[in-house]
Amino acid sequence: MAAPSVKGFPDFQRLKILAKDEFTSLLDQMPGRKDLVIDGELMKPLDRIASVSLLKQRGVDKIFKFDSSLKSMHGCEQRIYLVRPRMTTMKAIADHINSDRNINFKRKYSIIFVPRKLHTCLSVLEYEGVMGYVTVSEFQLDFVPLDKDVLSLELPEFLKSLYLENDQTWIHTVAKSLVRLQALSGEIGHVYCIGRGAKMVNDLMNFLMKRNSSEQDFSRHEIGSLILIDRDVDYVTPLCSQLTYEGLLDETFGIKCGTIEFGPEVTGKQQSAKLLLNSDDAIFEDVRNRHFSNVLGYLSSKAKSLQQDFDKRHGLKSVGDMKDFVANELRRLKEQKSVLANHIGACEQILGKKTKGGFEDYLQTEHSLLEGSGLRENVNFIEELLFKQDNMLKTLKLICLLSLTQNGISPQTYKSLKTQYLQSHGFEQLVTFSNLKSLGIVTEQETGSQAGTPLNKVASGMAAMTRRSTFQSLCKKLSLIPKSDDIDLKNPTDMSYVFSGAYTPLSCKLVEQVLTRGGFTGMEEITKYLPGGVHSENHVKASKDHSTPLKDKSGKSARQDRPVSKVVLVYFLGGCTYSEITALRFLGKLKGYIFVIATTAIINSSTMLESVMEKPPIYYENNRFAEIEFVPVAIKARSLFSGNSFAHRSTECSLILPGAGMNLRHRGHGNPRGGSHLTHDVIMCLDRQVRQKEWEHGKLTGLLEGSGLGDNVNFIEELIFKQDNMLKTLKLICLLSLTQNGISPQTYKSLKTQYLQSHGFEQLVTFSNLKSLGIVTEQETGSQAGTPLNKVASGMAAMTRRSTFQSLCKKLSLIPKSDDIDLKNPTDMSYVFSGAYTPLSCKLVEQVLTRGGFTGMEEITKYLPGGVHSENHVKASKDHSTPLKDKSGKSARQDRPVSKVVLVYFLGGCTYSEITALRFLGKLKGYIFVIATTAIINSSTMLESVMEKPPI
Amino acid sequence: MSSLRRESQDEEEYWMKSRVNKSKFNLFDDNVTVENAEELAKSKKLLTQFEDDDVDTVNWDDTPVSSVTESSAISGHVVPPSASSLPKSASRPESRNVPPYMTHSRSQSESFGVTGRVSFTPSSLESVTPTVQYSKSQEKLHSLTSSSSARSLEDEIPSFISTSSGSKNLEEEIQYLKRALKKARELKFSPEDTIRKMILGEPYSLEVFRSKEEKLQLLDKAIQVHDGNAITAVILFLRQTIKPSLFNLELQRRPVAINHYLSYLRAHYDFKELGDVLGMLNRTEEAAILKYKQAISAPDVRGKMNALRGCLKAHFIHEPDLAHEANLVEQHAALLERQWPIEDTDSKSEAQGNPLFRQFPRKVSILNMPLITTLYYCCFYHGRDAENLLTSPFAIKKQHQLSDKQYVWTALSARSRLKQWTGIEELLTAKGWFGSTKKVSVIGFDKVCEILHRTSAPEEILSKYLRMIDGSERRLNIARKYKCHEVVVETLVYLRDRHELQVYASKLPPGSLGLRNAQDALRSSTIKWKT
Repeated sequence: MAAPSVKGFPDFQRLKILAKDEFTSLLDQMPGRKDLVIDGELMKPLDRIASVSLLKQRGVDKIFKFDSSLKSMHGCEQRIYLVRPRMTTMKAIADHINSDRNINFKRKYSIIFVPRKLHTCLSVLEYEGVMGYVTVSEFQLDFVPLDKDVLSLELPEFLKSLYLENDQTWIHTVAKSLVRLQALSGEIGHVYCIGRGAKMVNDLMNFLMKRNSSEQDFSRHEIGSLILIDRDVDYVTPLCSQLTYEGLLDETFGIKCGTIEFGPEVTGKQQSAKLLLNSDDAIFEDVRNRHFSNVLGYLSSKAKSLQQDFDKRHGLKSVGDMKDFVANELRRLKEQKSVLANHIGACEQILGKKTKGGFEDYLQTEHSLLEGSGLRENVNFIEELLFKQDNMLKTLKLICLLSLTQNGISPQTYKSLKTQYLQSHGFEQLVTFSNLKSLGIVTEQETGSQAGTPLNKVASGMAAMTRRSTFQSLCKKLSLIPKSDDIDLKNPTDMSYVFSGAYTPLSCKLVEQVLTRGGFTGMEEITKYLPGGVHSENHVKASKDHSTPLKDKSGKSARQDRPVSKVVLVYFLGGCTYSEITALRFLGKLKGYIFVIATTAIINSSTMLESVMEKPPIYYENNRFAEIEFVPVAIKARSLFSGNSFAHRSTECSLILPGAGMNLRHRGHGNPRGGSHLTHDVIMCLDRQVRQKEWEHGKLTGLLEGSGLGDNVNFIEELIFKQDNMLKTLKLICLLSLTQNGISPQTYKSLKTQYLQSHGFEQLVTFSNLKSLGIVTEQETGSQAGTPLNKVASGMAAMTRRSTFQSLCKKLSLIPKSDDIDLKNPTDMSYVFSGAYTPLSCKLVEQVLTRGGFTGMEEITKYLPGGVHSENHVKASKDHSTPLKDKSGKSARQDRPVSKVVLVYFLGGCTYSEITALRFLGKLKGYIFVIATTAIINSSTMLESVMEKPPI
Repeated sequence: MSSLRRESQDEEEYWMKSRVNKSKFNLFDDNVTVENAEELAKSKKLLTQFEDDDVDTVNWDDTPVSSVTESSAISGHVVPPSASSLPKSASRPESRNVPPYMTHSRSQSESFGVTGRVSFTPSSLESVTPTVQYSKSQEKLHSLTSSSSARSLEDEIPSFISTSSGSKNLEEEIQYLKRALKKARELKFSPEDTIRKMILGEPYSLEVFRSKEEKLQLLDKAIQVHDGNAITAVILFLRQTIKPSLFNLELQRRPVAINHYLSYLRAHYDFKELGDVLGMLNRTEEAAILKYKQAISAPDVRGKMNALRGCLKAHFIHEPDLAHEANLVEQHAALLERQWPIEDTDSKSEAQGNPLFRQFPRKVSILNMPLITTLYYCCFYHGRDAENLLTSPFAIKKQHQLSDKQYVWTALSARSRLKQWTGIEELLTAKGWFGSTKKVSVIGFDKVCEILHRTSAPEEILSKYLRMIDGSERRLNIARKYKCHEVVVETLVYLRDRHELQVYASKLPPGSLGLRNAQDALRSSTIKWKT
């Protein structure tokens, strides 16, 4: 282990160096020039780790602040996003990438997640379809050392996430930070957990660490004990007005990641000044922990002594002294002077703000709330603030304190305060109150017997109950409210000095107790009031080497000679305030401990409340963006999912089920022989019709022949009037359309209307289906190119088919010329339809076989939707001496050595008539036909499969 | 040897949890023929009888049986070298006994709990030739060791036979089996391993878990180790792969899981599902607040009004527990309904150059402002409007049941800002008995003075109301605070405190009214000063 640095503090610079190395190697993974886009909240932490010059040195060209409202971004060909893992962020990045892809801009993207990648984020990237363009990596930046004794995860959302939403995502980050810290400083022997989250962190830490217990010498480890505290154990402390210098700086100006920015009103100059607040600043180090009342005095005395140092120059005798002074002293003095000026300016600002805002009255109310006295006056004071529409956060803080110290607010007061608060600061704050209720910060007292009051969350409700009844008891048991009024704020003897002696921070008092007692033994009276309970683990006692087994029960005597380090790591889950840090520093000095404070973030009353508040209306703009952007995503996600599964299922169905129409529906899906089943459309409407009455037969024939159009339409209309069998009628309509290149618009409309009127308007769906299939279509009227061509492709196909039937009939002579076909001893396939029509499909089979391919059939095939295709595997074989090319024609065909058995495969089903026709053809031409089909269908089954609700 | 033994024991521990499956044979396994199905059934029966003999069966590893070797190679189980070193022929007879089977099958199922692909064929069927066995094992080894083991079938057979002689080969084989074991371990998935991988950020796959029980094991394990990321990932996997009714049921049994799911939905802006889940859990208040939150995020005021009314009807009115919230939401909607027409007319009136608005230009639109701000606005611009108008401050007070204090405070501020002193007087005048009037202030005259001071009312007005403060000491303090010299002097005279008056007079600027009064009083002989 490296030697412990100044005053026994572990050297946390190592954490910085490690983080820097990790970050540089991540940058190097993308060699060359690149842009860096940084999440706003990572700017400051990164600033503490890596300098801009380092980034430039590693090829970073430009640095952008991530802005989720931007739809696209400019920059060079490579880009790195350094972001917190959030779904909204991912969505925005995906938008950037997609907009680049849309303009065909090729860029390489890398997303570095800090501190880890989350499943949800990756799935957003996947869902947005950009996963293929990004490389994803992690930058495990956990602790940012803010000072020699302060480590922060800079993760303010932890509070809301764990305590409000009960989301344990960040527990991992906390546990991991401890694992990594212990890898540097050695395992920590004693672990004390106060609260629910603390226990979880401990569990996960143990899971990650795989302790090899026995052989460890804990005395050499840098950190002796770890105390984990949940923020929900003590909400009171962060809500109290801070009175130490550092705390006031944070409340007034806001300290971000250890730096503060003073505006011109502080610096007294034009430009503002940025100051790094840590122990390196000697003046700040002297005043940071002081109560504000004796900061100004100190600073002015410091100013005087500085002036004296300056004045020395007048007393300088020799030139050498002068030179020496200028070289060494002057610079230092000047620096100190400017720092001092800033601090004095800041003090003035703080004083000014506090006196103007009636701070004294406020503080008095706060303190009497803590004491639990003068309830009526306190409520009046709060109401008055509400009448005045005074600062909404300030007022809310007092309401929170009122509830926390009083076991909730009495129902009547609660309702009236809530109503008035909403009336003064906007009804939107209803949400804030709901959040505060869930957190157990502002609750309504339950009126005695009414057990039926809403206890939505039993668990948290119980916790809230426990906490609510605790504060006064805890104050008494731990004597948090000092008895004597006279606390020397200059030379304090008690931690309570950070709050002017009015209150000792509960969290810090608990730390003191745990360390004094060496565990929770004897604290049962106190710990029973703490929500989430306590837990302690002693890894030291497991060691065989140490002769002093350190059980909690062994008490004080054993504790004193324990060999572990005096360094205590206090880890606040959900954030801590500067006042608490100061109190612990003081405790450390008093008791001889060295405290290192780790926290998920440094908070103050305002930042804490803001993180769980409904944002005031001003922020709405930002808010709205996110919502509008994201809602459709959610919807899309679901519809996509269901859409997918549907498509999948229906494909499956069409493979398994004997519903012939199913395949028809999917003809567009890359079926190379789509033509074969489409030509069926005509035929399948035909079977059985042979068995229909004579006159009907006549009409049919008429349809097929394309003659007597008017009569046919009249006949169909007649059937409709009679409400004759709907399938039968529909068949005729189908035939009409198929044979006539679609139905003329007028007829189509009138037939459709009449059909729907006769057979139910539900059949509208059927017509839509038939239109998609191209079976019943409306003719397009010449010039009207603007008619709805919903599906351009299928529309074209329909066009082609529609114009074909008559041509095909002619080219393939499907309609036999002579009327006298001997149905007993047929000579032609058309006998299956009484000699009125030769099935197109069978005719095509005949043609293909006769010609040995599609050669010479171009006139015919051009009418077939989907086209034709042939493959000859025989010619590829070396054994056969007769290469069978399509072009080799008839002579080659005859001596081909392939079998005469022909397999005819109907996709989408075939009818028995077709099978019969092919059987006949086989006999006639000497082929042996084997018919394969997806299903055997007839006109009714075919139509039914695509119809809305087939008739019962 | 001893290290090997230890390893096998380790493994024993390692797979301990998968032992549940140990007697789970798949009769429909590819490798099981109809003939040996019977055998299997028999062995299964025996197995259950020998269930307690765990120790024995473990020890049995030392007994040389070659069939164990083969199957173990398949399963990736570590095998004592002695077993494989024995010639095949020696092992045959033994392997036909019942106990060997049993052990064999045990070791199998133990180490391959998930896949459960038990190849009994080699040991249980005489008809199968050794080559076939090898090819089988080889096949599997290939699949297990995918790339690393390129040994062919032919290589394998001689090596097995020759192991009897050479210890070098034995060593090789041990190495080989170790590798196979390692591979098998990598391929083997247990819920715990998977969760560990998720937590450590290693690649993992959830798709291998098909049974509901395994998925729930995953979820429970994730909850047990408190990793939110893993919990959410498993929940989403569950949602994707099991039907909603089952999903909801299992989720409801795990509050931690519920919270993570809700948190995910919130972050994903999936408010519909979020509302549904909250409704399902009977968390009506949260659901109602959620709907309210959605309603107020409507961009335009008209939409917001409608959304609020709808949300009020659907989620608040019928919940007895939310009576108070319902009232507040109702007020919100009513406020917007008032603001909308006011803004409409006033912005027009302002554009037309109404002198009132010219004198005090409106800084921002009144839309979406809090109720008290609206009240102030109406007091300011429409203070005299009749009560039947939307703009009437009094109508606002009435509709929203504002307290007198709230009303007076705001109205006073507005009138003071407008310097309507008579208006203030009216506000603070109450009708007494018999038509008499007296000055009353519900908020106390000290607060009245505070407001007047803040709105920089002239001293004469301020003095007038300062004089109405009860309690001379209090009056004195407040008057001092606002530097109202006249009243201070008066009060001091009233208190007959000559000393204080002298001190105070000495601080007063020369020629001021206060000083004159003080000097008059000090000179006066009629006052009986306190001694």
